[in-house]
Amino acid sequence: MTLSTLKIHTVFLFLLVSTSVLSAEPPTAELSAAQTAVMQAERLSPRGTSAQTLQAAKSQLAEAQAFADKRKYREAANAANRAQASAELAKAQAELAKARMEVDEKSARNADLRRQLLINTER
Amino acid sequence: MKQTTLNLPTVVLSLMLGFSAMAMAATKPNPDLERLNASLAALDNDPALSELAAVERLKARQAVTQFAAAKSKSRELALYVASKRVETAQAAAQAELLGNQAEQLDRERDQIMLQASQRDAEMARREADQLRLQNMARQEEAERMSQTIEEERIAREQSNADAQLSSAQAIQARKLADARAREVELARKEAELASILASDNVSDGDALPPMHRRGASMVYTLAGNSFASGSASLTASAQSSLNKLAALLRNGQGTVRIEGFTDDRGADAANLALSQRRANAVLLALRAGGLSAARLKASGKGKAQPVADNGSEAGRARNRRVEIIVN
Repeated sequence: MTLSTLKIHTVFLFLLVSTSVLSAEPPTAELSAAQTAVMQAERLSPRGTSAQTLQAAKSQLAEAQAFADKRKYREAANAANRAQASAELAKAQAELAKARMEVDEKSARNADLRRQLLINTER
Repeated sequence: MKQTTLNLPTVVLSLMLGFSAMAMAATKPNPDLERLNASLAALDNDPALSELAAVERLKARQAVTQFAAAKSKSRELALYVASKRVETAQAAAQAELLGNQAEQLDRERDQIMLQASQRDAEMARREADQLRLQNMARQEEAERMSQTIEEERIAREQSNADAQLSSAQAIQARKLADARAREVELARKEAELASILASDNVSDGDALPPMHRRGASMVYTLAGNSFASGSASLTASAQSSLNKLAALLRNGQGTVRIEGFTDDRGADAANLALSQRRANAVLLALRAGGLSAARLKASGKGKAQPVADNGSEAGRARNRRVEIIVN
């Protein structure tokens, strides 16, 4: 091994160590964001499709936590990002279902009111 | 050193091949990226959704951009996140649209309630108008009934007044008829008297006692000189006059009251007794002349009811009298 080759290897090793040190940080922010998103989705008591999506988010969050416990922080961050995206989708789906139900109820209510008004007017 | 020189072309060649592969990969169409972009474009071009869920669409667009720029080892994660962000944007936009529809339905509900309130108010107003009209009709009916009752009362009072007037007129007519009948009777009596006087050829000294009317009665007066002084004995002339009077009254039916009077001289008891005896004397004379005793009644009044002043002899002579009152 020549001196130049040794220098190159030394630099490469330094970069590798630096990268390892940087990736050694646990993805706290990602895990926290994912957990918050899951909790917000849970508050809406999702049903149907949104419930399935929320369940997937929970599984992804659990997976992220498991990776973090195993100090596989990159995998943990990836899983946390998936969990956050899934949880936000679950929340949006739950809000959509709730809005659809509200519109249906209000449409029926207005129709009933109109019918009553018509009946009372004809009386 | 030789090895390094030998390896350099190999490294350069490898890099060139790598860059070529990357360039080819970059120019190669990515169906996932196209699908995601198409979904975002559809969301942007939907007139109903284009203005909604701006934050979620921004996040989705950033995720798609990151996916497009992602390296191979993070591509799968970027695709997953981008897909979820796009779905989230679609769901959020639709939810916001439905939220707007819900608000519109609330406004519609408010409008319906307003219409209902207006209709109720209109119905209440109509009902109030109807009640007011009914009340007016009842008042008018009450006024008509009151007016009818008043008219009936006036008519009844008028009828009563007419009846009373008729009754009064009838009474007046009856009284008038009675008065006329009495007048006729008196005229008849006068005629009879005149006839008697004519048939009996009466002299002046044997004439009837002087007579005057007192209301409906005829009053014949015997003067005080018809009796002897202090006595109840009739003079012959007075006896004759009474006979004539008896003949006149004989056929009549009315009562004959005989009242004796004296002047104020002497005791009252004596005067009263004298006047009573003189009245009795006249009563007997008339009975003797043929009058029924049932028609005759005599009473002494004494010095009461003087017709002249007792201060003079002439006045006292006029007060000494017997009145024969024929009804």
